[in-house]
Amino acid sequence: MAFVEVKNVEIKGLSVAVPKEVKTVKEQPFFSSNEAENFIAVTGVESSHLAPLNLTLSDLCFEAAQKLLIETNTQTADIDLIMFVSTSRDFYICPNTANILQHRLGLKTSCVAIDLPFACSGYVYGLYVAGSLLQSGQLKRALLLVGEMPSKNQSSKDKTVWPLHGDAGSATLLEFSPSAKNSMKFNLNGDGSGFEAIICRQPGIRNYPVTEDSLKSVTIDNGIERNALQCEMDGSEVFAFAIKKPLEAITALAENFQIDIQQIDYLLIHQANKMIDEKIRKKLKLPAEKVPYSMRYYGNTSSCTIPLTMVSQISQSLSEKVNSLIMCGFGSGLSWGAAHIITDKIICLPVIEV
Amino acid sequence: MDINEFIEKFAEIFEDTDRAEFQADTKFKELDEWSSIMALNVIAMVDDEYDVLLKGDDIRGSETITQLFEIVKSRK
Repeated sequence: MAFVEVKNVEIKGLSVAVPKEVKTVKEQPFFSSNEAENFIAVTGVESSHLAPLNLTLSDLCFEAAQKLLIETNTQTADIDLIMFVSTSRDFYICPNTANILQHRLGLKTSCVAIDLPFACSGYVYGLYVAGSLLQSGQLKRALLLVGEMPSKNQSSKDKTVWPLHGDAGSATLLEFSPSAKNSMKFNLNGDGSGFEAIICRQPGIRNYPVTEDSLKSVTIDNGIERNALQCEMDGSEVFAFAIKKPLEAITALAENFQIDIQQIDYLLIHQANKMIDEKIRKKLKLPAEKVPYSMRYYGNTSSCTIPLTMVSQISQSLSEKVNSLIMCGFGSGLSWGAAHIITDKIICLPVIEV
Repeated sequence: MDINEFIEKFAEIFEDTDRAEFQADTKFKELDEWSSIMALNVIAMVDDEYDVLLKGDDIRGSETITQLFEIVKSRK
């Protein structure tokens, strides 16, 4: 367990953009009505947002970032760091999407631009890395852009991933603040022995090159068809990991930093699926009102689930008062982390539809 | 650990399958109601009731309820 603290950095604002189009679980052709009901009962997902072919995650993050800059009265010249945390990059090998967004948002060329290819644990890791770069005060302000567009790298004929996931991109404004009373506290973990649990086998250098065969859709099982470029998930392996490790990480975070979990305002768990999250909530003995959910209408949007839950479920509280939050992200890598963050009246925009 | 109790708890996960279909030698993956979502329910039940964490390979490698029971028992 890596326990780390980031001092003198605060979250100032937050916005999330989703595509307009919606896909529902019940309309999926690979499900009988009974299967769809069972799926909804376990995952808590009824529908999610789906991007058209020509919309990318960087487009969503661009919209979220641009509105956030306006609503927080931030000048583009004041952004010293832009970080794009996602596996849905414009180009898989190069260049970095953060560079593309730096230019598109009109940020200065001295703005440090970095991609961080994390999936579901990305918001927690992104806050840690961006926060760490700000805390010395040499860089003052960061745009942390976090999200995923699973519809671009998953097969619509794969019932193990397609109905669960949705597309969403977020922007968080972080600021160096020497007067910040509270540090951000993290517990970060990873275990590469599970690297195949959630994996896109191509394109990349390991299974090089992409050939005609890579594009052939293969039937793996009933309701599971995909090609080598499409992401696969070992559902039961991930489930077994997810009901154990995130809970341990939260408990250890609280012990190490002497946080009374019962005293926090909200626990923001990655919206992996409802059964997993409810197990974590019940084991921590937290009342339902302290653990908001957004997966019902947005699905599992990977690294975007935590910011999406914040803006769609608790934005009033976040914008009006101080909140003590524990966040927990977990997924591909395997990688997981928990964070304790105290926010003070952050500017929280309503969900933007693009 | 008692196999009959395990079978009982295993059967409770299923809604549409007759209780009589669940025996020690039942090949659970051949049941009509079996699905990948059911596998998650089994992992969750074993975690709740026995505090044992089954892996994907444990489910894949088991054919009968007894085989699964033996894995859980060996980790108690």
